[in-house]
Amino acid sequence: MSTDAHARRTALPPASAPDDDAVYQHALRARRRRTVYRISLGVAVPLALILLWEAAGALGVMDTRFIPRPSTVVAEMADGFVNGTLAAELAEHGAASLLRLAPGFLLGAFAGLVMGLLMGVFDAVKFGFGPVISATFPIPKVAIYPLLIVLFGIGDLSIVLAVAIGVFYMVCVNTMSGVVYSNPVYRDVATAFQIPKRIEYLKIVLPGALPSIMAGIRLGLGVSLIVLVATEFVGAQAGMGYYIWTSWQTLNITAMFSGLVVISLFGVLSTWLLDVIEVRLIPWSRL
Amino acid sequence: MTFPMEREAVMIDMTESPTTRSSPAVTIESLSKLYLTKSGQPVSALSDVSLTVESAQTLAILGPSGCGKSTLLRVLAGLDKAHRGHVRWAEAPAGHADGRLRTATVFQQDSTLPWLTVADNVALGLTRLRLPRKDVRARVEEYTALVGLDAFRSAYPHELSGGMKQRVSIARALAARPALLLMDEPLAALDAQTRIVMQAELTRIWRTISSTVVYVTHDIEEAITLADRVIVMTARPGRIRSDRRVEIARVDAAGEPLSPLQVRADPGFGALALDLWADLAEPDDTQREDA
Repeated sequence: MSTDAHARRTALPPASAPDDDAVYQHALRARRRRTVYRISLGVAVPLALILLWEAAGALGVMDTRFIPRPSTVVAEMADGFVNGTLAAELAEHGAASLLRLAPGFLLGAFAGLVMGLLMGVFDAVKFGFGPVISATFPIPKVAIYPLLIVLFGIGDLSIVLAVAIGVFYMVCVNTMSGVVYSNPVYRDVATAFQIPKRIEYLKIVLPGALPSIMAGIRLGLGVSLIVLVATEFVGAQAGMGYYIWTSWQTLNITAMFSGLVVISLFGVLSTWLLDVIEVRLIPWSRL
Repeated sequence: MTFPMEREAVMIDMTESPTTRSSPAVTIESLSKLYLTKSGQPVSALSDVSLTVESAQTLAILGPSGCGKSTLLRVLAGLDKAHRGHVRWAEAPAGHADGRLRTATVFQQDSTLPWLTVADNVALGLTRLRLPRKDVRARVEEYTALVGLDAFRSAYPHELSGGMKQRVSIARALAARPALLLMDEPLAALDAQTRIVMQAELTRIWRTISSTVVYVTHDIEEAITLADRVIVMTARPGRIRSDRRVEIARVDAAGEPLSPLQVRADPGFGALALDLWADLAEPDDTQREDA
């Protein structure tokens, strides 16, 4: 699929057909074998871990009142989906979380991108704000949450801002280093050809920093989920964090695991989305 | 100073700019440049270098690493502004009304932008000139064809070989029709075979565009093959050691350019190479006298 898309995108003259079909077939088979190997191990290892968990429960090594066997969890989840109660709860709390995650993430990523670019491009901004950013960067963003409550009260706004701050640092720091440490010859080209500043920033600085910006956004995504769930533990009456926490307090272990599955789905889906964006945005870095 | 006539055949081609041959394109007056090491120690890269580059001349700067030849080129390219001394250009910056940049540079390392196609890479170098869109397209087509990349205009750099990427950089520099073309060891990163091919290409291209060229290299044979004049620089401090004209025929009786290998067969080639070797190897007397 990728080779097709590739061929359409570029005007490279088509590669000559393989002269020796046997050698070509051999190379194809070798690649296919490796793919099968990779996928089967990727499936087998998690399966083995689940089996181990099941066995530990069945043999009484683990107390199934607290950690039920995976078969029990799956069966109860299936029940909850069939009669609709679990599905409705997850949809309600998932939506509540998503409505905090999305604006917080976008706000933090955008602010981080702008600040990172400014710090990367202008020495004055870097010298002025660099020490502030470095000094506040190591503070766990969850620890800022009480301060946000003092400022903005308990509610969605404080959670959204906590998420945004967590994302901001990751994107800002990575964007800045993407600009500063991108290949210096790119900036030399801009100077040597007297390229106007606006075009230099748009066509040279920004694309040059993109791989690093995307890395920052990925890290920011991880942080945003941590901050979201942690703040919802204590500061919300809805959302996945609230749901997981109350499930634990009422010893509704199946609901707790369902919450974990939904959170990990958030992570998996958004990572997949970022992969798609990245392939479109920076095709040259994937080769 | 007499000016040799070995570019007679070339001059006939230069219908575009029939200016006087020996007019200076750029004059460098007592240029000095210091670098600071991490511990704050000064290291002299260039020490009181003066040099005049004449119009339509191909000047090779030869020297060991650390002799300041790349620094000299960066000063000419406008990449290094913190220096002492003067750089005087023959033409005042004309506001790019003539559709030319004063200088354009080909770098030693690959300097293509991986997110732009070959055509966009070449067009990017023209942005300062603010040409109409169709002129940009015409130049892109003209110069990609000149370097033999017409079939690859919409390819991305990662799809090209090292030699082809360097051709893109060369096309980008030529498309800006610079008054002074600067090349910083443009072939150093290529393998020996590609280098010979590219030397022949450069000879052919320079005949077509009749630009003034400053060409930095550490390769004696390449300097003699390509240049009208070779300057040898020495390191610590960076100074000009010798300044020699190359009196070797680059074209045959019919006016056709000779291949780099044919140029190397010229009896004058070996003699000049030996002279340049001697310039490079000679211990620095000036330094001892200074002390």
